[in-house]
Amino acid sequence: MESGKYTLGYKTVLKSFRNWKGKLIIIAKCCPPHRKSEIECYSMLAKVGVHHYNGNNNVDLGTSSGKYFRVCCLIIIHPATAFGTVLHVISTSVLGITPILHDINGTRDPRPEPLPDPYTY
Amino acid sequence: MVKFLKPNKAVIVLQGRYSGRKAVIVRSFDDGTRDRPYGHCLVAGIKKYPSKVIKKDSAKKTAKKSRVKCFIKVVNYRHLMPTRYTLDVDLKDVVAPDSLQSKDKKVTAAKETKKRFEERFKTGKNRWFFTKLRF
Repeated sequence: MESGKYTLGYKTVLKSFRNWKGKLIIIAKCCPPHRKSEIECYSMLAKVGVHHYNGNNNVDLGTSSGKYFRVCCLIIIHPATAFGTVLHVISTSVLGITPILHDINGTRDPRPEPLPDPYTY
Repeated sequence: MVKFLKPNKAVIVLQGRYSGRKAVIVRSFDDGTRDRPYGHCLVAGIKKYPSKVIKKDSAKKTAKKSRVKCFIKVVNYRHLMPTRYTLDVDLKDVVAPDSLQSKDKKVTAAKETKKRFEERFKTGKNRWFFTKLRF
Protein backbone atom coordinates (compact mmCIF):
# COMPACT_ATOMS: atom_id res chain seq x y z
CA MET A 1 0.00 0.00 0.00
CA GLU A 2 2.10 2.90 -1.24
CA SER A 3 -0.39 5.66 -0.69
CA GLY A 4 -1.98 4.25 2.43
CA LYS A 5 -1.19 5.63 5.85
CA TYR A 6 -1.10 2.42 7.82
CA THR A 7 -1.83 -1.23 7.27
CA LEU A 8 -3.06 -3.84 9.66
CA GLY A 9 -2.06 -7.43 9.86
CA TYR A 10 1.00 -9.66 9.86
CA LYS A 11 1.09 -10.31 6.13
CA THR A 12 0.94 -6.63 5.21
CA VAL A 13 3.55 -5.80 7.84
CA LEU A 14 6.02 -8.21 6.23
CA LYS A 15 5.05 -6.97 2.79
CA SER A 16 5.85 -3.40 3.86
CA PHE A 17 9.23 -4.51 5.10
CA ARG A 18 9.98 -6.03 1.73
CA ASN A 19 8.89 -2.80 0.00
CA TRP A 20 10.99 -0.68 2.38
CA LYS A 21 8.01 1.27 3.58
CA GLY A 22 6.99 1.99 7.12
CA LYS A 23 8.01 4.00 10.11
CA LEU A 24 6.66 2.25 13.17
CA ILE A 25 5.34 -1.19 14.05
CA ILE A 26 2.81 -1.72 16.79
CA ILE A 27 2.44 -5.25 18.14
CA ALA A 28 -0.32 -6.48 20.42
CA LYS A 29 0.57 -8.11 23.72
CA CYS A 30 -0.96 -11.46 22.81
CA CYS A 31 0.94 -11.80 19.55
CA PRO A 32 2.41 -15.34 19.36
CA PRO A 33 6.08 -15.21 20.41
CA HIS A 34 7.43 -16.66 17.19
CA ARG A 35 5.64 -14.07 15.11
CA LYS A 36 6.63 -11.28 17.50
CA SER A 37 10.29 -12.21 17.33
CA GLU A 38 10.14 -12.48 13.54
CA ILE A 39 8.73 -8.96 13.27
CA GLU A 40 11.28 -7.68 15.75
CA CYS A 41 14.06 -9.33 13.74
CA TYR A 42 12.92 -7.66 10.52
CA SER A 43 12.55 -4.31 12.25
CA MET A 44 16.01 -4.60 13.77
CA LEU A 45 17.47 -5.11 10.31
CA ALA A 46 15.38 -2.30 8.83
CA LYS A 47 15.95 0.02 11.80
CA VAL A 48 12.25 0.58 12.34
CA GLY A 49 10.81 1.19 15.77
CA VAL A 50 8.60 -1.40 17.42
CA HIS A 51 6.06 -0.48 20.03
CA HIS A 52 4.38 -3.11 22.17
CA TYR A 53 0.83 -1.98 22.68
CA ASN A 54 -0.19 -2.07 26.28
CA GLY A 55 -3.78 -3.19 25.82
CA ASN A 56 -4.88 -6.65 26.92
CA ASN A 57 -4.93 -8.39 23.56
CA ASN A 58 -5.40 -8.03 19.82
CA VAL A 59 -9.09 -7.21 20.29
CA ASP A 60 -8.04 -4.03 22.08
CA LEU A 61 -5.58 -3.07 19.39
CA GLY A 62 -8.26 -3.59 16.76
CA THR A 63 -10.70 -1.48 18.69
CA SER A 64 -8.29 1.35 19.19
CA SER A 65 -7.54 1.32 15.44
CA GLY A 66 -11.22 1.89 14.89
CA LYS A 67 -11.88 -1.55 13.47
CA TYR A 68 -14.34 -4.22 14.43
CA PHE A 69 -11.82 -7.04 14.09
CA ARG A 70 -8.73 -8.18 15.96
CA VAL A 71 -5.40 -6.71 14.98
CA CYS A 72 -2.21 -8.38 16.10
CA CYS A 73 0.28 -6.08 14.47
CA LEU A 74 0.14 -2.96 12.38
CA ILE A 75 2.58 -0.76 10.58
CA ILE A 76 2.43 3.01 10.18
CA ILE A 77 3.62 3.95 6.71
CA HIS A 78 3.09 7.70 6.51
CA PRO A 79 3.18 9.26 9.93
CA ALA A 80 2.00 12.67 8.73
CA THR A 81 -1.67 11.86 8.66
CA ALA A 82 -1.52 8.88 10.97
CA PHE A 83 0.41 10.82 13.57
CA GLY A 84 -2.81 11.33 15.42
CA THR A 85 -3.37 7.57 15.48
CA VAL A 86 0.11 6.89 16.77
CA LEU A 87 -0.12 9.45 19.53
CA HIS A 88 -3.56 8.28 20.45
CA VAL A 89 -2.65 4.61 20.43
CA ILE A 90 0.49 5.15 22.44
CA SER A 91 -1.20 7.49 24.91
CA THR A 92 -4.10 5.12 25.37
CA SER A 93 -1.74 2.25 25.92
CA VAL A 94 0.01 4.30 28.55
CA LEU A 95 -3.23 5.25 30.26
CA GLY A 96 -4.76 1.84 29.71
CA ILE A 97 -7.90 3.22 28.06
CA THR A 98 -8.95 2.18 24.56
CA PRO A 99 -11.51 4.54 23.06
CA ILE A 100 -12.56 4.03 19.47
CA LEU A 101 -10.72 6.23 17.01
CA HIS A 102 -11.94 7.77 13.83
CA ASP A 103 -11.30 5.66 10.81
CA ILE A 104 -8.42 7.03 8.76
CA ASN A 105 -8.95 5.91 5.21
CA GLY A 106 -6.02 5.49 2.88
CA THR A 107 -6.56 6.56 -0.73
CA ARG A 108 -6.66 3.95 -3.43
CA ASP A 109 -3.33 3.00 -5.00
CA PRO A 110 -2.70 4.73 -8.35
CA ARG A 111 -2.44 2.54 -11.43
CA PRO A 112 0.97 0.86 -11.27
CA GLU A 113 3.70 1.81 -13.73
CA PRO A 114 4.61 -0.76 -16.38
CA LEU A 115 7.36 -3.02 -15.14
CA PRO A 116 10.89 -2.56 -16.53
CA ASP A 117 12.33 -4.93 -19.13
CA PRO A 118 14.17 -7.79 -17.48
CA TYR A 119 17.95 -7.75 -17.53
CA THR A 120 18.42 -4.24 -18.80
CA TYR A 121 20.49 -2.67 -16.03
CA MET B 1 13.50 2.21 6.60
CA VAL B 2 16.90 0.77 5.83
CA LYS B 3 17.06 -1.65 2.93
CA PHE B 4 18.34 -4.98 4.12
CA LEU B 5 17.79 -7.30 1.16
CA LYS B 6 20.92 -6.18 -0.61
CA PRO B 7 23.72 -8.03 -2.36
CA ASN B 8 26.05 -9.91 0.02
CA LYS B 9 23.33 -10.37 2.62
CA ALA B 10 23.15 -13.88 4.06
CA VAL B 11 19.63 -15.23 4.02
CA ILE B 12 17.91 -18.50 4.77
CA VAL B 13 15.70 -20.03 2.12
CA LEU B 14 12.36 -20.93 3.61
CA GLN B 15 10.50 -22.77 0.88
CA GLY B 16 11.18 -25.28 -1.80
CA ARG B 17 13.80 -27.93 -2.19
CA TYR B 18 16.43 -25.75 -0.54
CA SER B 19 14.41 -24.77 2.49
CA GLY B 20 16.57 -24.37 5.54
CA ARG B 21 19.68 -23.70 3.48
CA LYS B 22 21.79 -20.61 3.85
CA ALA B 23 22.34 -18.46 0.82
CA VAL B 24 23.83 -15.14 -0.11
CA ILE B 25 22.03 -12.55 -2.22
CA VAL B 26 23.91 -11.87 -5.44
CA ARG B 27 21.46 -9.57 -7.13
CA SER B 28 18.16 -8.21 -5.91
CA PHE B 29 15.21 -7.05 -8.00
CA ASP B 30 13.05 -5.04 -5.63
CA ASP B 31 10.39 -4.07 -8.12
CA GLY B 32 10.37 -7.31 -10.04
CA THR B 33 10.66 -7.81 -13.76
CA ARG B 34 8.11 -8.51 -16.43
CA ASP B 35 8.39 -12.26 -15.96
CA ARG B 36 8.34 -12.03 -12.19
CA PRO B 37 6.20 -9.11 -11.08
CA TYR B 38 7.22 -9.42 -7.44
CA GLY B 39 10.30 -8.62 -5.38
CA HIS B 40 12.82 -11.38 -5.89
CA CYS B 41 16.54 -11.95 -5.86
CA LEU B 42 19.17 -14.16 -7.31
CA VAL B 43 20.82 -16.14 -4.55
CA ALA B 44 23.75 -18.49 -4.42
CA GLY B 45 23.47 -20.96 -1.60
CA ILE B 46 24.85 -24.10 -0.13
CA LYS B 47 23.26 -27.32 -1.23
CA LYS B 48 25.54 -29.56 0.79
CA TYR B 49 27.40 -28.15 3.76
CA PRO B 50 30.99 -29.12 4.44
CA SER B 51 31.29 -31.85 7.09
CA LYS B 52 32.99 -31.53 10.41
CA VAL B 53 36.74 -32.01 10.14
CA ILE B 54 38.56 -33.58 13.10
CA LYS B 55 42.24 -33.56 13.94
CA LYS B 56 42.59 -37.25 13.21
CA ASP B 57 41.66 -36.81 9.54
CA SER B 58 44.28 -37.23 6.89
CA ALA B 59 44.83 -34.51 4.31
CA LYS B 60 42.87 -36.45 1.74
CA LYS B 61 39.95 -36.86 4.11
CA THR B 62 40.03 -33.16 5.11
CA ALA B 63 39.90 -32.19 1.46
CA LYS B 64 36.93 -34.44 0.90
CA LYS B 65 35.09 -33.20 3.98
CA SER B 66 35.64 -29.53 3.11
CA ARG B 67 33.72 -29.71 -0.11
CA VAL B 68 30.75 -27.42 -0.55
CA LYS B 69 28.01 -28.01 -3.07
CA CYS B 70 26.24 -24.89 -4.31
CA PHE B 71 22.99 -23.93 -5.86
CA ILE B 72 21.92 -20.81 -7.72
CA LYS B 73 18.31 -19.83 -7.65
CA VAL B 74 15.93 -16.96 -8.15
CA VAL B 75 13.81 -16.71 -5.00
CA ASN B 76 10.84 -14.57 -4.06
CA TYR B 77 11.48 -12.30 -1.07
CA ARG B 78 8.60 -14.02 0.66
CA HIS B 79 10.53 -17.24 0.73
CA LEU B 80 13.61 -15.82 2.39
CA MET B 81 14.45 -15.02 5.97
CA PRO B 82 17.07 -12.27 6.18
CA THR B 83 19.75 -12.53 8.84
CA ARG B 84 22.17 -10.07 10.32
CA TYR B 85 25.11 -11.76 8.59
CA THR B 86 26.78 -10.84 5.33
CA LEU B 87 29.12 -12.77 3.10
CA ASP B 88 31.59 -10.67 1.12
CA VAL B 89 32.25 -13.09 -1.70
CA ASP B 90 32.27 -11.44 -5.08
CA LEU B 91 29.87 -13.44 -7.21
CA LYS B 92 28.59 -10.68 -9.50
CA ASP B 93 30.74 -11.64 -12.47
CA VAL B 94 30.01 -15.31 -12.05
CA VAL B 95 26.31 -15.38 -11.35
CA ALA B 96 24.05 -13.37 -13.63
CA PRO B 97 20.35 -13.65 -14.33
CA ASP B 98 21.08 -15.31 -17.67
CA SER B 99 23.14 -18.04 -15.95
CA LEU B 100 19.89 -19.79 -15.28
CA GLN B 101 18.79 -19.87 -18.91
CA SER B 102 20.58 -23.02 -19.92
CA LYS B 103 21.88 -26.04 -18.13
CA ASP B 104 25.56 -25.64 -19.04
CA LYS B 105 25.63 -21.97 -18.03
CA LYS B 106 24.08 -22.95 -14.73
CA VAL B 107 26.63 -25.70 -14.21
CA THR B 108 29.60 -23.43 -14.92
CA ALA B 109 28.22 -20.73 -12.64
CA ALA B 110 27.63 -23.26 -9.87
CA LYS B 111 31.14 -24.68 -10.27
CA GLU B 112 32.67 -21.23 -10.00
CA THR B 113 30.66 -20.30 -6.92
CA LYS B 114 31.60 -23.67 -5.40
CA LYS B 115 35.24 -22.77 -5.86
CA ARG B 116 34.78 -19.37 -4.22
CA PHE B 117 32.76 -20.76 -1.34
CA GLU B 118 35.32 -23.46 -0.68
CA GLU B 119 38.14 -20.88 -0.67
CA ARG B 120 36.21 -18.81 1.82
CA PHE B 121 35.42 -21.83 3.98
CA LYS B 122 39.06 -22.82 4.12
CA THR B 123 40.11 -19.43 5.45
CA GLY B 124 37.89 -20.06 8.47
CA LYS B 125 35.94 -16.84 8.10
CA ASN B 126 32.12 -16.61 7.97
CA ARG B 127 31.86 -19.75 9.99
CA TRP B 128 28.16 -19.21 10.61
CA PHE B 129 27.42 -19.36 6.91
CA PHE B 130 29.05 -22.75 6.44
CA THR B 131 27.40 -24.46 9.41
CA LYS B 132 24.20 -26.29 8.84
CA LEU B 133 21.10 -24.73 10.36
CA ARG B 134 19.68 -27.23 12.82
CA PHE B 135 15.90 -27.47 12.87
